[in-house]
Amino acid sequence: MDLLQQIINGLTIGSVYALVAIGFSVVYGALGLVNFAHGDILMAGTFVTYGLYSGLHVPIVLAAVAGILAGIVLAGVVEEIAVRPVLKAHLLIPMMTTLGMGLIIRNVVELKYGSGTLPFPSFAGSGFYTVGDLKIAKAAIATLLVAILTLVVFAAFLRYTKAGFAIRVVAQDMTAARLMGVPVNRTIMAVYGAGGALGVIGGLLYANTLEVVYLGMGFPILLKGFAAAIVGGIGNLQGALLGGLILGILEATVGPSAGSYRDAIAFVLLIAILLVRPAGLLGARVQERV
Amino acid sequence: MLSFVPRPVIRVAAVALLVYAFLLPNLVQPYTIRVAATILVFTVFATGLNLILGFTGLLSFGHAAMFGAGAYISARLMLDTGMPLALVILVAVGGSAVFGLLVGLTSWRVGGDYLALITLGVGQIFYLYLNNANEVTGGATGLPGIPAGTFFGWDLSSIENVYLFILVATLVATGFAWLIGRSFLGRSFLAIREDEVIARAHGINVPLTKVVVFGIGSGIAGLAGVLQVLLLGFVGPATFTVDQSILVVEIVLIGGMATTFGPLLGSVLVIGSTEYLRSLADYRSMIFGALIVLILLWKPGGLVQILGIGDTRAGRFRSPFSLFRRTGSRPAAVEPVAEPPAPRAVPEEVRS
Amino acid sequence: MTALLPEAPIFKATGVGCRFGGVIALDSVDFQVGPDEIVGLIGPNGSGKTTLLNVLSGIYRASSGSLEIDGKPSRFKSSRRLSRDHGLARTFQNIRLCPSLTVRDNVLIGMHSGFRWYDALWTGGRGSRERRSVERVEEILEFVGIADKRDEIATDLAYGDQRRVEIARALATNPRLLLLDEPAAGMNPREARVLVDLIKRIHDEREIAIVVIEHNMNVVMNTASRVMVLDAGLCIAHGDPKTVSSDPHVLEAYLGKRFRDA
Repeated sequence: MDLLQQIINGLTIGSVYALVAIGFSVVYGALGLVNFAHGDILMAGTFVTYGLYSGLHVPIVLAAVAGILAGIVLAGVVEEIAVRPVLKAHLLIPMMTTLGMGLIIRNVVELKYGSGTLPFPSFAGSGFYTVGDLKIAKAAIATLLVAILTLVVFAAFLRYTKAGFAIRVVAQDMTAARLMGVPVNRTIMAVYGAGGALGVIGGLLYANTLEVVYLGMGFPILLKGFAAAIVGGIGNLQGALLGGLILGILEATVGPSAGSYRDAIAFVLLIAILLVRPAGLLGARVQERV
Repeated sequence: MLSFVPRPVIRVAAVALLVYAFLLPNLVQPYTIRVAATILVFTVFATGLNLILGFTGLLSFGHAAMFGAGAYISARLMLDTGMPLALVILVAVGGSAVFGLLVGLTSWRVGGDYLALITLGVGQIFYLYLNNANEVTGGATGLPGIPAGTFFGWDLSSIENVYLFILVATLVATGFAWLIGRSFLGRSFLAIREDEVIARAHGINVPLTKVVVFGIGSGIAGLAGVLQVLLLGFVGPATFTVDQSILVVEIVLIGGMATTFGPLLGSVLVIGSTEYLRSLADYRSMIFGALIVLILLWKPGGLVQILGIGDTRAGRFRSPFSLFRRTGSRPAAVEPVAEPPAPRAVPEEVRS
Repeated sequence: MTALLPEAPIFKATGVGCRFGGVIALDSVDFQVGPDEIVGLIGPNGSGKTTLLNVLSGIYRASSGSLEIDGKPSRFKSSRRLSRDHGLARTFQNIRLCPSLTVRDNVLIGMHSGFRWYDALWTGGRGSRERRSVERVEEILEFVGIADKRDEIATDLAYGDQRRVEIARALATNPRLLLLDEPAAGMNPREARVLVDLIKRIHDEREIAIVVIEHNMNVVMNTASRVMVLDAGLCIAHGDPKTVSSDPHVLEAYLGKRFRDA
């Protein structure tokens, strides 16, 4: 029973990782670039919701929408300033420029909210449901539901809308997409926006689960999201989902015995997967063209 | 900016600056000496990263771990054994070099951004270790009261002498990196940064070179760690966080990748401004973040290129081969491509 | 046709195949080159010429076939070992130069194998390997005719000059066999004539065997002593340039069936 309880806890946090991982994976899959500002974008979006919700008492749904919009705008700005101009440059350059943008975003949030840990009232209310011996937090149920809903909506967006199709085309071959009349620049912007939105939703759920927000929250979520994305096979959405859940369950089951090294689990998993199977569990290898 | 200044003038100024650096302890307050010493420690630290990041284009986001390895190894040796300082330095540098070699081994399997994340992970795990292995590292409180050393009879208990020692070490490290950078090894680093296929096809052992550069860069960072211990007489985990790794990346980028004096210039700006422009402290990472973006978009050679001193091999960091910028094994969701792009009957880019 | 084959080939590959997923880029090709040859490799786009070159130079892994080097059976080796141990050098179809390095530094990359680890700390002074290498690079730049551009950034040069930097870099590895992948692409007729001259000089004066992929027939006909035609991953014709250029299969591959008998 204990194990089952831990697995349920793991699924909850794992679905948060999965959301972030998918946001990450979408950007990576389309452009082959890591967005090092991703963590700071989702942190900033979460803080926008926090400010509206607990400072100005705006209803949570509106506040969440505002936070997500903020995430989309920020991601678009990062793309416009720090990614587009250097798309053709050496791989290092866009990585570093997004890192720089992340520093700026974080600094702005720090000026407003400081670097302390702030309480984030869970919007699902506190309390538990009891099923047999299992105690399931209401927040966990909410998190799970929102995460699944978001994933379904996003998968449908990629699959059935024109913009989603454009994203998949750009991910396959940017030059061909451009030649076929796909508005590549706008699509890349959409990719970043979608990544930002998913990130902020993940950030909100993370905050909801832990009932805190803090300046540094983007960093562990980013790393765990990335670890999840890699474990599943980056650029692969099902893989990212799988990776997120695996990571969440591992943390919940192995975590307690790892003690203060709990946060290292994600890295150990990440390093192990990269060394054993760099393409991830569901990824494919690609021959470099010469 | 300084390109209109004749080269001999710049040389004379550089020599004057060096003389001034040696005379500094007699001219200024101890606080200033301490700041100058800190700047030099970070110069050495960044010099190590510059070989990895600037020359070879490998992103190490866990370089604070190498810095920390050198610091903790030397601190433990100085606390527990009566080893002469020279030997302590040797062991600490060697130890962090080996640590770096091990981390560098992962570059055999992954490249680019994956490597960045692995090193980030290593840095984070190392930080957790520092905080939790109380018997070895002293945990969160660190290891205080490290005795001052003597280097071949040179007493390093006064801040003036420590500063001079650090200055000499900085010169040695910078000179070493300069020699490496202009040698065949430096060229092979640059070749790997720009095109691994070229490197391989001309006899360069790419995996070995990557591990070697990780080893050398980490060894130099380890030296910086020892210098830090000599300067502070104390080590604690707070100095070896991921933020510190990012700080040193900032120094390298702002100073100028793949340059000899970039680490020094970057360190002067980043560390110096932290110490002297405290009113700007709240806006610090915003300013440096913006500076990084601006530099990478327009002057990849950093301050060295902006000031126009010394030559920079980062200036043309933009590869025209956008298709080929990906290095290492970078899995993606796309199906394998059969044939290379079709030959051109008409040149795409006939440039005159 | 068999009379043309070299007696003691330095590289001999038999039944080379290379596939990517379900796509067969090279089906089964026999290829050999002797120490004193210039072999032309032609064929329509997508016929597998560059793939063959990539397999021979160790950049792609062959999915089938065997290799003999100097008459001894050998595994397919990495491009590094082929360059270092077996004297194989190549240029690339899409020019690949290090964009932040000068012409001289680019060519110096080709000298890499000659250095020992201790040369990393001895980069100046008379007698240092670095100094001697720079002198040799000077000679090579002189030979290919771009010595006056030694200090320019390689990718700033005109197209034809960039091709010559690539050739110079390949020569710097001190090769026995040089693989040229479309060296005349993007050159005007005058530059192409200079190139033909250069290829001949490399062969005659430096005694290097050459394999050249080229669409420019003037270049192939004026340099190659033997021509091989690939189509759809197979060798469809093989022989001296004159015979090959009138071979019906070749005409069909290039122009389609209709023109075959015209």
